[in-house]
Amino acid sequence: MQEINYIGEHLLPGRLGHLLLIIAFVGSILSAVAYYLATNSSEDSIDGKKWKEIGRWSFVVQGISIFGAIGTIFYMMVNKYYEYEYVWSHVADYLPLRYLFPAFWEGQQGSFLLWIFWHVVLGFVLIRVARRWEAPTLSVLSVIQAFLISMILGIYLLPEFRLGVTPFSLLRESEGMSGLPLFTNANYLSMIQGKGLNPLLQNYWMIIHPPTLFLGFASVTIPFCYAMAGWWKKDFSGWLKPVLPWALFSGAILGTGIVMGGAWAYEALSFGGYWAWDPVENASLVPWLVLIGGIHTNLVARSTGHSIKGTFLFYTLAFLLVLYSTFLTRSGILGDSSVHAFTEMGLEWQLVIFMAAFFILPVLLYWRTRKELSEPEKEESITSREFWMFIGSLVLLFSAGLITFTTSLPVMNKLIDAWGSLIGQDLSHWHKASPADPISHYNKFQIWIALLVGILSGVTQYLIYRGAAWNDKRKAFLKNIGISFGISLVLTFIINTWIKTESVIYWALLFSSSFAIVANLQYLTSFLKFKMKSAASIFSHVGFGVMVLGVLASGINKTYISNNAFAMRGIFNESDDRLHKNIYLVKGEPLFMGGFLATYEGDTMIGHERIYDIKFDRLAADNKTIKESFELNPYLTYNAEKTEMVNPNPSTKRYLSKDIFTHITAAPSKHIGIEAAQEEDGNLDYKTYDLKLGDTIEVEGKHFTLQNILTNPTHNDYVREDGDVVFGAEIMAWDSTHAPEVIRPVLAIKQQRYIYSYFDDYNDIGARIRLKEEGIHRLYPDDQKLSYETYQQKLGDVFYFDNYKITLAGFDKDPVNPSYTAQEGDIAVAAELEIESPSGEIQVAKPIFLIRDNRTFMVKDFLPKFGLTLRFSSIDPKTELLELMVAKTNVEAIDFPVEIALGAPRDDFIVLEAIEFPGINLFWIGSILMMFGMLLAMSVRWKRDLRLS
Amino acid sequence: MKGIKKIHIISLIMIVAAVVLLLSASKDMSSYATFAQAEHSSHPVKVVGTLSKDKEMHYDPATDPNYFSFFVKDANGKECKVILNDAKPQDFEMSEQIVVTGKMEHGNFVASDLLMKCPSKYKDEEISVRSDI
Repeated sequence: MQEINYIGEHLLPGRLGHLLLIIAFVGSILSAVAYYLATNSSEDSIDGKKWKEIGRWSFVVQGISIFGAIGTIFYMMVNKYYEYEYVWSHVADYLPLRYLFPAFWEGQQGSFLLWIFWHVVLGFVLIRVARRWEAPTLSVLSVIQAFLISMILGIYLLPEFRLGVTPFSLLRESEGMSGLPLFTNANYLSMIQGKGLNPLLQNYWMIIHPPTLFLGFASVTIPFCYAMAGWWKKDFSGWLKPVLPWALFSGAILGTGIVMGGAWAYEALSFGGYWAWDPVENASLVPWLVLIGGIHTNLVARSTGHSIKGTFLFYTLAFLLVLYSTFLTRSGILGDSSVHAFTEMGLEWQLVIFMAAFFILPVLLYWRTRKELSEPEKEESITSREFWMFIGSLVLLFSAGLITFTTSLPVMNKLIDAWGSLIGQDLSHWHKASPADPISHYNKFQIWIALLVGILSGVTQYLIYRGAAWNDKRKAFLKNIGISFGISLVLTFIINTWIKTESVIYWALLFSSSFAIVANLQYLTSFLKFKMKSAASIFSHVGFGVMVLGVLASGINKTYISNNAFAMRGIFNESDDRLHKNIYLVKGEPLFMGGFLATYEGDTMIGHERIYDIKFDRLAADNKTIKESFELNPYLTYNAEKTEMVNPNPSTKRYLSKDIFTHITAAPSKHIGIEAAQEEDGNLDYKTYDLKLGDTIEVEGKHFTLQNILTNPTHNDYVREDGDVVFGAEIMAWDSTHAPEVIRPVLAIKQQRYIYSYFDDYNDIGARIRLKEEGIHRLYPDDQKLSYETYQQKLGDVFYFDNYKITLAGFDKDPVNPSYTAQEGDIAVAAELEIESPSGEIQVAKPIFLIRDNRTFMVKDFLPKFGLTLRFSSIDPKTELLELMVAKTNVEAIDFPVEIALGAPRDDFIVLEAIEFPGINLFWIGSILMMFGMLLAMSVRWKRDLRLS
Repeated sequence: MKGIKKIHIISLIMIVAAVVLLLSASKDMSSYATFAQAEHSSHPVKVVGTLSKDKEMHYDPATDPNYFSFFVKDANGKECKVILNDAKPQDFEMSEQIVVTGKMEHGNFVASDLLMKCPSKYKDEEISVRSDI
């Protein structure tokens, strides 16, 4: 085959980017090896220092190459180099600059790069602060980097075995594309447009949520590296101190990332909530739970020497669970059970090897030193703080295990299949599907977890490490717990008048979260005396309690207010216990729902969004007085061409104590897209009638009069462009029960080829009327068939044509006419002709005389009602005489073919879902407090460590 | 006894609790079924199938915005009317595969949840050629 010289391709950035990735890959391996050797040589030996230096530089080169590769991708995206598959897949011409970031991490390679990027940043920090832990931790980190970079390397190790998928591949060489006939065209680039970013991701949360989450994922790696380093150097307790700020940082950032994901789901998706126990959401929650467990065992280990192994286990597991969640979301195994999962990219085996490697490493390290580590012989006392902190960590681990079990069902099904094929049996009847109702399934277990955590986080604060001097402290302990218990009990009763839990378990959870808040606050006031430096854990634990309160309030009392009790009564039988989530609103007709009078007032198209105005009037108990009014604006987003709706977006009214969340669940087909509208229109039974001006016809008891023909009609969906030929009609319609209403259909021919027929908005008669193309040809007379009469006139002159009295009333130097577009250098003037018909009606015509490029033109004017065509053909500057030409068409004799369909569906409605979430702010506030507590603890410890060293 | 600590006992209790919980949870796990099997099941099941595009799809928000019915053909080729008590999902017609979770009631499958797999508008392997050329 002949080589094609493609036009306009930029191959250099792709080659550079790919080269940088290869350098980074090699750099990470080199760094891992050098740091390995540095770790195994003694600290101060010449060799050790040299290897450390080499490792450091290799890591820096690796990091800079990664920054370079990322920069290259952004360069390609900013310049819209669609010859690259990654750019083509995620960018489009219309995409605003701020969405380049989400476009970058929308794809698998971009999000891998984001993760790798954060590892580089964290690695740089480690190089600066880790001191004697630098070599071992960075050695482990570099191996992880090498694995991650291999995912996006895209080089062939064997002809059939490709390592990773590069983001720098060309579109014409990518899988499934290379054979397309498009690429036989050397100039294919000028013909393609990018696919652009999924509109669901065109949201500001998508600019900050993924980087935060990936920083969270990346930071889980660091405690893992420390754990490996500790066992590697056989310094089992030395790593416990430097690792703690890292773990706290990770807990805060990963937690924030998860909560931001919830905020995005709440604000941009329309499932009505912040958490849905989706497998991908779980995949990020589970490592976080384990990490939090690890932080607690780490604290125990620092203070007592117990739980060192536990800390090793927790940090290792947290990291492995990050890898596992990466595997779940990126291997395509979740397939149809999650909306967030990436599509398959052929990385399954690479991901499995990645997981296996980092499963084996800690096992080997542990095995190697199993006899060398001794924890205190004496068991933790049941009255000690460490005992209950460890129990708390176990509870978190337990929670993580339960979630992982259910999330892993697709993996288990795969394993069952693998086993089946091994023993030659079809075991697919063993398959289990994900729970029918995932939310209640997960909640059922997690309620107990939250309950235990709430109680533990309160009680444990009052205990002392090693249970020191328990006999002296017992009284004070019991007293304090008793007071907290009493206050919480009262508080629970008070809060319950608002939340109204009906089951015992919810009540118990309410109590437990109140207890967490009260006991921690009491500890802050009576023991810590408001010393904020020691209060970090108070923030986190109070935050937890507040968050659970928010979950309870918004979860139990989530109510669909889009439920019209009046309208439903009588229509359905009594046994109808369905959840009525949606309400049908007709434009301009207020409807009563959940204490509000809701009115759909209209909608406007702005850019790619159709924004609906829905007015809510809150009524007083008498159902008459309006106590409060506000407007909500849910909207629909459209595709680049604005032809199809892509997704509905919610709109929320926020109060301190609750949110009112609304979104559109159904809209008329003309708002959904051209295809749907055409299909609906195609189902109507149109019949054609010929109407002359003034004619009335009757169709099935409904009357229609053609009142007027317009040459300059307006219609909401019609945008006038140069060269359009357009006309409209005004048709009066009525029947025995409906007063006359004017229907205004419009027909336009664009670019002399494309015919657009616009029917008017829905009317009470239910008639839809379309104009037909013939009408436009019959209306606009062929100039050659007209017989013009010529008149020479001066300003103010009056003349008669066919009983029409025509007055040359004036001139218009700035003429407007649908068939005239002003250009630079035009000399254009219109004659203002006042025309009075025999019946006394007056209309004004404005024919234009135009000089353009030293040539003269005429732009005629046409008055359809009178049937007159007027031309302004010349002007004599000396005598000031105008030459005017007038011709008549008999418009009254024209038959306008009109299509009428009855029983047209309404197109002035929306279906709305409105949900009230009480106390949802407690959820956000609680989450923020929890993360803030961890950040505070981190900075306090960090500073203390710096001071001590 | 030497070697056995309270922590071990508690861990053991937790493991037992986990097993018990997971066993009881296996009731939550739905299983995949066909419409014929769904007839005999008292638990909610998941049926995987395709939308019967030639059969009537009914959603008339003016009469009831919370009633949507359509027909699904399951793996065995059996067609059944499915009722969803909610608004009609967006792009429903485009779905390639549908997973409905629910129960049989009076010969109709009443779905509590619906998941569709669409050829994503953004992920299809199609190159859109600029319309102005």
